[in-house]
Amino acid sequence: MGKSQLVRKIESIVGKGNVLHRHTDLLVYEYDASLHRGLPDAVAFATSTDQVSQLVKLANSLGMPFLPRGSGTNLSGGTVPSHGGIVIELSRMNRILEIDEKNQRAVVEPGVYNLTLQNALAPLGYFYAPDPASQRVSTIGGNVGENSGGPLCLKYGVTTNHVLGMEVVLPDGAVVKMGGKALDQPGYDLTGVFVGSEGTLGIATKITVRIMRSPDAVKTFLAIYDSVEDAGQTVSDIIAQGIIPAALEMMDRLVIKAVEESVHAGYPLDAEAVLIIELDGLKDGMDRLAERVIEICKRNRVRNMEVAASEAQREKLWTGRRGAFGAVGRLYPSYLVNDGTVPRAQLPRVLKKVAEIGRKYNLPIGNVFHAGDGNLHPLILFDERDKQQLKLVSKASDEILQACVDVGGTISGEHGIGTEKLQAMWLLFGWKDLKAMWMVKRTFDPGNLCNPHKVLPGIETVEVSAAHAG
Amino acid sequence: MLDRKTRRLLRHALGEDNIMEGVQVKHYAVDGFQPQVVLIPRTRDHVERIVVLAHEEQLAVVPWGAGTQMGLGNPPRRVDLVVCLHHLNRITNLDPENMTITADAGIRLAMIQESLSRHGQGFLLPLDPPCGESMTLGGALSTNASGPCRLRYGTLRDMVVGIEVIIPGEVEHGGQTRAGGRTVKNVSGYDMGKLYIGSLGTLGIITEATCRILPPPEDRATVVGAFSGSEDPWRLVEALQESQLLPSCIEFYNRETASFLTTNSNVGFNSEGGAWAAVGFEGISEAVSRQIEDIERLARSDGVKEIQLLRGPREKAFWQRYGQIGFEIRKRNPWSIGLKVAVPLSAAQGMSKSIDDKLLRMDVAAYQLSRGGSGISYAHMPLSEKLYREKEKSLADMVEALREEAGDSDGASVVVEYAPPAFKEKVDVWGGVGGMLPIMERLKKEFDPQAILNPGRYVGGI
Repeated sequence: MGKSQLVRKIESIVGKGNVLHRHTDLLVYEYDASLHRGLPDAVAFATSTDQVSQLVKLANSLGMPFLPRGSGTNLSGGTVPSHGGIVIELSRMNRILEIDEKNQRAVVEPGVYNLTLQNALAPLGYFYAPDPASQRVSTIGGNVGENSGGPLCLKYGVTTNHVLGMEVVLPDGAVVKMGGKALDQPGYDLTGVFVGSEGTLGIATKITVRIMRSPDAVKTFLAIYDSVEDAGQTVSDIIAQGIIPAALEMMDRLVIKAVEESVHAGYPLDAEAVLIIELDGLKDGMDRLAERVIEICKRNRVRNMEVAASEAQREKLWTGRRGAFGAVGRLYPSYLVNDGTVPRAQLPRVLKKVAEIGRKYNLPIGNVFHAGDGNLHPLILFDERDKQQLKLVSKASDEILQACVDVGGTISGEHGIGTEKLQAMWLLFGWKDLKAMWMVKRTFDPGNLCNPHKVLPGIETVEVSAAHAG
Repeated sequence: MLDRKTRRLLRHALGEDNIMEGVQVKHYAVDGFQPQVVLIPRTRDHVERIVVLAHEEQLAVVPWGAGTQMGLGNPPRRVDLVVCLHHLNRITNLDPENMTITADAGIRLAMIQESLSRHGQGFLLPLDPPCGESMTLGGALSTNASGPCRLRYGTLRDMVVGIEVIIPGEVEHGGQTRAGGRTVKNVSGYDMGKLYIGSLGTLGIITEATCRILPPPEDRATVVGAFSGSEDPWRLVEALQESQLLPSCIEFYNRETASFLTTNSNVGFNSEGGAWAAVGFEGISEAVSRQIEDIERLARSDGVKEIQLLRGPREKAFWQRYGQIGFEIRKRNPWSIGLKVAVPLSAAQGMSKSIDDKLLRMDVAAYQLSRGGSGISYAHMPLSEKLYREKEKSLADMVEALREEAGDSDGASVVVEYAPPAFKEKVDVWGGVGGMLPIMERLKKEFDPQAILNPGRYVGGI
């Protein structure tokens, strides 16, 4: 089928003016927040489930790959086409369909920004627990695809713990409902396996989430350290004492500098590391809990501790932390951020290894991460226009991932496998482990058209098996 | 029939001592279907050999933990082998700093809790299903068993971070597969645990799982109140929702359940009540104390007739007894029926009333209990054979009527958790799963192409 014919067919589904097909327009959709590039054949802006279904059916009829995309803040290449095809853009499906306080649920379209949902809930006294740093711009649909975390996930869990049902357009275009406001639906937990499947099993067009009462009281600390080890040990000690803060985040010197220059939140420029520690819950006993936390920080040689005295001050601290990835753009034009996650007790050891690797390749590495759940984010800083550097960055990244796996960790805590970590999956899994996942992929998408070549390596083997099966 | 060659292969694979034949196998029947042999593997390798052999010879396999929930599911199409997993029962990794525990599937939940409580400051796996003492981890996983504290801590699908399963569809590669890992955050690959948990062993035999654990709360207590009317506890739930309180569990129950709890525990009430509520709190001492005060006040303004505060051994005994209801009823009355109704919270009170009305009209007593904050209700109906035969049609009609009322939007469901085989011929125990069934059938075909695992017992006859 010729290009103009394809465009006409798409236009007949979403309307003229809702399709991008000129090269200059498509370039904008050639990338996401990772280092991967891939040009789509067309970008279609859908505004209804029916349109999504028709677009998927069209792609099927042409044997053409397709993939969903929200804001494109994906950090592993999940929203960049690997083999061309149709990008089904969902940002215009951005309505909050229902906030149901009685049932403690909200129903949203996939293009709703995470923060938009939070802001709609806050005045009612509710919040939606998964709060990724990208929340201002990442969509709920994207959060579902990646099983996003966020600082609050230490205490409250990640996206999969808060998504209770969905309407999904399957890779053949059929529309199916999974789960809903009620709990414990019999049968295999298709909702559960869909969350975190990175857009490879279908496209969510309605999402039912759990909302929770906002906590009675919140206390936020900034703890300032002269060594990364001391900060890391503090994290281990807090958890070991049986205290589960709402959030426990760390930033090192390099990141602090970038962040402070960007938001002026009062971060100390001469500190080696800071921790943001947030406690929440009933106000009864919170002061005593806070005392215990301060005590632990002091035992680990904290230089200074500041308590956010107002909501505005608290917001500033968090704005700084959330803006960290963007802020390092002041220092270097490009970054590759790792997402290795390790058992908490291994944190100090792995941080040391990360620093060693940085020195080995002469690359600056900033650290900003969810210390409480062992989810590192080493930011390897460089200029991607320097192809030599890009090679070194890739090597450094591989070594960091290996270091995480060596201590019993995993290669991705929340940013997804996408294209970027496809081969790194072999560090964790053998073929029989991956084959079970291919069984799931084949169940949902036997034609392998839905965001192909993402998440699962070894497609060559699968295709051969299928051919042998006749 | 198991032929001589197959029996010889089994003996070769497992060893003579680990195979049970003859009259003893009748204790391992499922809905009246007795196995030909009962296998007792000692290692994962044994389990793998069984699955490979069963796949090759197309033998129907029923995995068995402690047997506490074998009543769940439709009757099997066939049973050739029962595989008992209780010898796979070690804790393979306890990592208190990372707050995870990895254990073999055949270990009893009570053993996990006991080992955790003895370690350091003590830890717990926040899982309190009925029959929690004897149930195995694998049994809890394959049925997605849960109890009152799910209100605060979620269910196993929220707790499991890594899992190992032996899959028939994988036998050419040896069968054992892993997913997830040991970290509390992990998006490497698909979340396979979500599929295996609650799958009733129809996709594979779970051999190991890694779960998140928690530090013990500083303090805990349960407040139990007797109310006059059955609507009263529901008003309490509404008041709780609007408050800042964070109960770890909210349970309502009726008079039958209350009298069951009174025997063998020390929680008797002086006043006559129509409905009871038990609300638990855990956490830092000041928070627990404040919440106890608050709930007592709320209960009083709701017209509570009597309140008791339970702590320590008394509290423990109460919840232990609470978890025994279904089991005791099934033991005493093999013709009993147990229902589980799950609806959105806003529909829960209505459904509860509907169940009450129907039971009254049928003149059938039931031990009822509700997870007040979750929209889930249980009705345990003790029945003699005579009473069952009398009421069979009305009971079947009741299930259909309840399903009609619950509707099929929103994932609502009415499940027959246990019933005599005759009842299962009349009523699909699971109810429908709508447009999802074709996907589920395809999934089953991938993982278990010969349909050897629990054939016919799952939704849609899978």
